Amino acid sequence: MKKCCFLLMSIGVLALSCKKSEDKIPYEEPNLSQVIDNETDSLIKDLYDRYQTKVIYKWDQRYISTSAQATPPRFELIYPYLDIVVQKLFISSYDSQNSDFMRKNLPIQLLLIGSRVDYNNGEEGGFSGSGAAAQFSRIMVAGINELNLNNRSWLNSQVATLHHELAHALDKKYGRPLSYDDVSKGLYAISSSFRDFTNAEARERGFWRAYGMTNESEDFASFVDGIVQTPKEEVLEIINANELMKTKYQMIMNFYNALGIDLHEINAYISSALENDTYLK
Amino acid sequence: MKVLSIGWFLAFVLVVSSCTKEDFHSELYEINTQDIEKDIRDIQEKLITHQEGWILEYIPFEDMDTVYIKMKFVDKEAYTYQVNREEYFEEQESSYGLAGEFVPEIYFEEQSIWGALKQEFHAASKFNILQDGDQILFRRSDGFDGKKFRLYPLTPEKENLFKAVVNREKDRIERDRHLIEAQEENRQKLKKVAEIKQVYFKNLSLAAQALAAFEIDTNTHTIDLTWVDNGKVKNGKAEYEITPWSAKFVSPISINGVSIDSLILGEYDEQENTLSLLDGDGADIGFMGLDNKPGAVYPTANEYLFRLNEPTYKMRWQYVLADDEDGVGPDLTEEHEKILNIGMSFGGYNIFVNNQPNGHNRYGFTVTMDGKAHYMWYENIDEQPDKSLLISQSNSVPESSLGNGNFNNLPADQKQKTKDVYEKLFAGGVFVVPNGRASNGKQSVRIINKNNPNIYLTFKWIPNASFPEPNDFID
Repeated sequence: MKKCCFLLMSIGVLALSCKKSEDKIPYEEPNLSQVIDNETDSLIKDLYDRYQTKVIYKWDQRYISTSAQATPPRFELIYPYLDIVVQKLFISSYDSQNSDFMRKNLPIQLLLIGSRVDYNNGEEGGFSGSGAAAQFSRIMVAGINELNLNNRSWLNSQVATLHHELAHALDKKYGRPLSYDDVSKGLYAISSSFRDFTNAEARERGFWRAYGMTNESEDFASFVDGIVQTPKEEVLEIINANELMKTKYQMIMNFYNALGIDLHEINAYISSALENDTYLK
Repeated sequence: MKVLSIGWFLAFVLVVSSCTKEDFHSELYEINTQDIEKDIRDIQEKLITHQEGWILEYIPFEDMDTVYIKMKFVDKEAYTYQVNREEYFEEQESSYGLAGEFVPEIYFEEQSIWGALKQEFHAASKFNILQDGDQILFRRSDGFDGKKFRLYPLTPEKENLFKAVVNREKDRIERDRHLIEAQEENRQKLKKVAEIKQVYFKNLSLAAQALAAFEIDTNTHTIDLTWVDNGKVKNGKAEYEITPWSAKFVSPISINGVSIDSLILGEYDEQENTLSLLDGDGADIGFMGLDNKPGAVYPTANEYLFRLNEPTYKMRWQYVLADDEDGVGPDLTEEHEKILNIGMSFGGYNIFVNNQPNGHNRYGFTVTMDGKAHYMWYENIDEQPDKSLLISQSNSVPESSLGNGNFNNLPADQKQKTKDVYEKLFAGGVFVVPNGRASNGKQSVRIINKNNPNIYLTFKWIPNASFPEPNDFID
């Protein structure tokens, strides 16, 4: 009987605790209704539906350093940028190989900046950035306001930035290949600046370009965008120059292959699209 | 102790079950209840069980006509299809598959219409399958864009639609084939005109009036036209493209107030070597081809060469072998060769204008042999209304030789050979046509037989103290 009383008391106490939760501040449903009345927002919604990625183009200084300077993207350039650069060149270069790749890996925020981002102070003082990645959740691309679809150089650099920032996101999400950081251990710029080195010197140390000497993360991302921007034959010639390059190349190719992606195919896809740009208009 | 434990357990279960529902539910966190494998199974079943089949209205590329793809899914791997495109009108077999991690995806074997569309239009061969109510939508799953295309269950109406679009495409192919043939016919007609051997008097004639002389270059697709406008010779080039209906000029060309933007080509007359030209209603309005008059009559050329109205202006014109290989017209070559083979050193052909102000030896036409000229004297040159010239040999002194013993000693048949060149050239009249600049930088002219413009002889003005140089040129 005593035990039964104890049980009833317990239930009573617990029931009270549940009742107490009903007194919390009532949940107010946010107004999520969206009015989509232009093709830009329609495309952004479509990209969100397909990839669960939010495209952010409205200006918010918090997305860049307080000491950095940049300008927002011009609205009329956002649609062609998303349609051609993001969708038809960047996303499809991966998803044409693996349909679910971007759904899984495109960061949940894609931040568009109109100008390049000029960093005035701190570690990156005097540096002008074309993109950035924040963990695996956000990538930022800059220079949208220079959009000129006939400018192959601009197009290539934009797509390269997206590949580079995505590589950072994948790095954060899956982790760089094991022992990747050991390949050029002791050969990074460390206290000096990567600007003190030529690209040729960087390659002797196992980096695709000097910027990769900044740290292990930039080493990985710049190696990836280097492979993606360069025809396969040329890549093979470059990486066969020394064992450090060859080792990193193999690690990166394996890393992407495990995700269903051949980086050389990406280069071929984009080159082909730019050569026959009828379908990009 | 055991009862106590059971009691605590029951209490815990009760609390958890009651609190879970009430306390942890949030609108902000939707529970993903999607069962992708079930979705795939469902769509698979739907595709197969609709035995009449399906029709996809697909636009692979913006601005392109809809491609209608009729499909019947036989089983989990095989399907048959027909398309309103050439080579795919008849039912064909191929394979497909369904997959997907987030959204059902259908992928098609590329040795099929899908591969063809992919190659030609950068289309896709794999699609996400979306369902919107009863509607099934295809969206390419390679990320290229988010356009959706509906897959309709095949109904009698859709079947009729499919038949109609297939027939329309067949008609279009037939029409295209016909147009290609018509285009090729036009190409061949113009080629024939371009290849007319005759050098002069290839005229573009409209409304019974020679508008211009022409030359056609079928390699560069250009017509070179020459005409006279207010006493000045004009020249223009018209770039053309062959269409099934005409030779269409890239830019219209205007000749004496007549603007021509295309030539509608009629029938080619093998006997006359002319190609009739038609108006938009198919009526005959002119021709291109051989004519018996220059397309461009050079109004001052006769006077310039022969000084018909200046009986004291003495001039001398000359042809020598080195002038150019086209100096002698192709139908005069045989006579010219005979002179070269007489066995004497050929010097040239000469025209002496106003040798005397009047009389039987006003004009001298010579052949120079062994450094001495054999003369044929002419008294009159009569200009005809069509600007042709009748050149008649003097009866009183038909010919003479001046100190050329070798020539005088020739047999009569050999002597005749020197006369044959001029007699053939002058027979029936001649036209005088300016010929630009000679190699010595002086004026060049051609005397062309009126009846056969392949008979001509080219002369240039030569500097000589006895003959004043003309002050001007004619072109």
